[in-house]
Amino acid sequence: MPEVNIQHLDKIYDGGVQAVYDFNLDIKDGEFIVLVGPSGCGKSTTLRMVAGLEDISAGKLIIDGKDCTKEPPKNRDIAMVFQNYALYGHMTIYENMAFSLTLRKENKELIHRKVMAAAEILDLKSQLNKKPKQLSGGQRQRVAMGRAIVRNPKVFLFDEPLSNLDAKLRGSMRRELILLHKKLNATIMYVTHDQTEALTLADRIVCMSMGHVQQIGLPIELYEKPANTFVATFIGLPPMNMFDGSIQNGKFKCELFEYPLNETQKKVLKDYEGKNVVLGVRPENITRPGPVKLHITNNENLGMNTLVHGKVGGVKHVVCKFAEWCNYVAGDQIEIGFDPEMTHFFEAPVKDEQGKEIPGKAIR
Amino acid sequence: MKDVSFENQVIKHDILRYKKNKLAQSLAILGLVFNCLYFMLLYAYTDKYFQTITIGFSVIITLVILLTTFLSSEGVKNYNKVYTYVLLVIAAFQIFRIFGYPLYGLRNKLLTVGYFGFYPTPEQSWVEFVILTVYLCASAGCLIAAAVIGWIQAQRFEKFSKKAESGEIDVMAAIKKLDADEQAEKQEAAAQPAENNGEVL
Repeated sequence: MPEVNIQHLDKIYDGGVQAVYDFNLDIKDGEFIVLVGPSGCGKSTTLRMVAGLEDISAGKLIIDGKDCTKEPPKNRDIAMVFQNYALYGHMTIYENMAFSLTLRKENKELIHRKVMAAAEILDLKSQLNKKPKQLSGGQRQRVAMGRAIVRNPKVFLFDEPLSNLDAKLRGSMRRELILLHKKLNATIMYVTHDQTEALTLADRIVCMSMGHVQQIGLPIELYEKPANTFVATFIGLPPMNMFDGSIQNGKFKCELFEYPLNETQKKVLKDYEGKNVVLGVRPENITRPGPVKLHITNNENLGMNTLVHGKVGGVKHVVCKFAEWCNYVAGDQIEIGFDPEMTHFFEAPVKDEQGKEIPGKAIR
Repeated sequence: MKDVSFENQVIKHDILRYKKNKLAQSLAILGLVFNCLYFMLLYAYTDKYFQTITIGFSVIITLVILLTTFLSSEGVKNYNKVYTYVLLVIAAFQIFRIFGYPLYGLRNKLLTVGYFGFYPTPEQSWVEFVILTVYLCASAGCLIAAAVIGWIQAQRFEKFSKKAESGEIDVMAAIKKLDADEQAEKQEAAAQPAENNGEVL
């Protein structure tokens, strides 16, 4: 069974810059893993280490029971799909898809069977005699996937494959990817900075920041139970509203407002009396009315719902998402509250000795 | 009843739809190269006979042959039967050319230009005649081979395309059948050691 085990993986570049810190992950057979995080968080570096395109500074990589830490890429039996497609412009789509097998000197009939089968899956049969420049971005990306499929690898690696496509095409390609994964039942590692892709595609998400894994879990877990302030603000669109404050006498107090805690919250936060904490609430979990006054600055009607932007205490920007068509205008004032079941509390972020901010852990 | 070889034949023919006839194309281009070698030597002769208005016609004919051969090489590459006939005509003309300038030069002992350090005397004119003849024959041979291979492949392609378009042949069904057979073979091979173990035990 092609499982991937990544143990204590580190990447330190020649200049001493560390891009990945102690990355641990066990990927099950047929699992769709998405690495998500902002630019420079180390997700592509991790993927490239798995592919063999970057040396592993420390740690172990086991693919299908075989230690591949020092193996060259060609011996790892993996296929990678890049953001820029990496197709050969002078070759036809057929030749592009057959290329890796032609290099392996497979017989022509076998190559043809595999290419045709992949073209059938990806709906590329009518494009096989064309050159890449004659295809749209989405079709080119499908060709790049086809080139990976014909190899029948143990693991598929995707490095931001949809980033070059427009929003509409990205949506349709996402659906195609899900179907493709179901058809092939392949083990996939997928890198993206787009949280929508991560949430819709993944069996499990690995959320990374500054080279560190912040949380590994099901998409719903990352959304509903973020492990720290970074995951809470990174996953979800619009991002979670965060308020710095402290717990005092059974209330969350910040400079802008006071928010009474219910019994469950008091129980959870009993050890934090007098300490700094961060209250987080997603825009869709903001209710009306409530104890907090919001001065509206902008009202975005999106059809099914409305994004209401405003300021609390004249400084703190807050976004609310109401499941109705709202007609607020700038300058209006409303009173908002937070759904107590969906309100999150985190420890206050701290800085390490190098001045880097360490996200505050969730309090549960 | 269709057997496995039928499916293999289908695959072999279906490949033609996505692979160009590069062999025929390469042979046609090689014929063109031999033609170039021929005229590079021919136009080096400075005798009065060669330096007349007729050499102009010869140059035009050579240019036409070069262009037509190149065009035909692209045609046969794409399984176009018409161009195979064009190649045959050019091949015949190449043979016919032996009896033009080269033969005249031999008869009048005019083929005496220096060629890669070899400076023949008028009596040694036959040497360069042989070289010119070899170039023309080689060119004609390559063009004939290109035409024959091109015609055979074009015929196969045409027949297969008709059958595929009419639905008489289903390529994907053939691929699926071969995949299923291969899978069954693999499973059989995997089961074999277990059975053997059973016998031993």
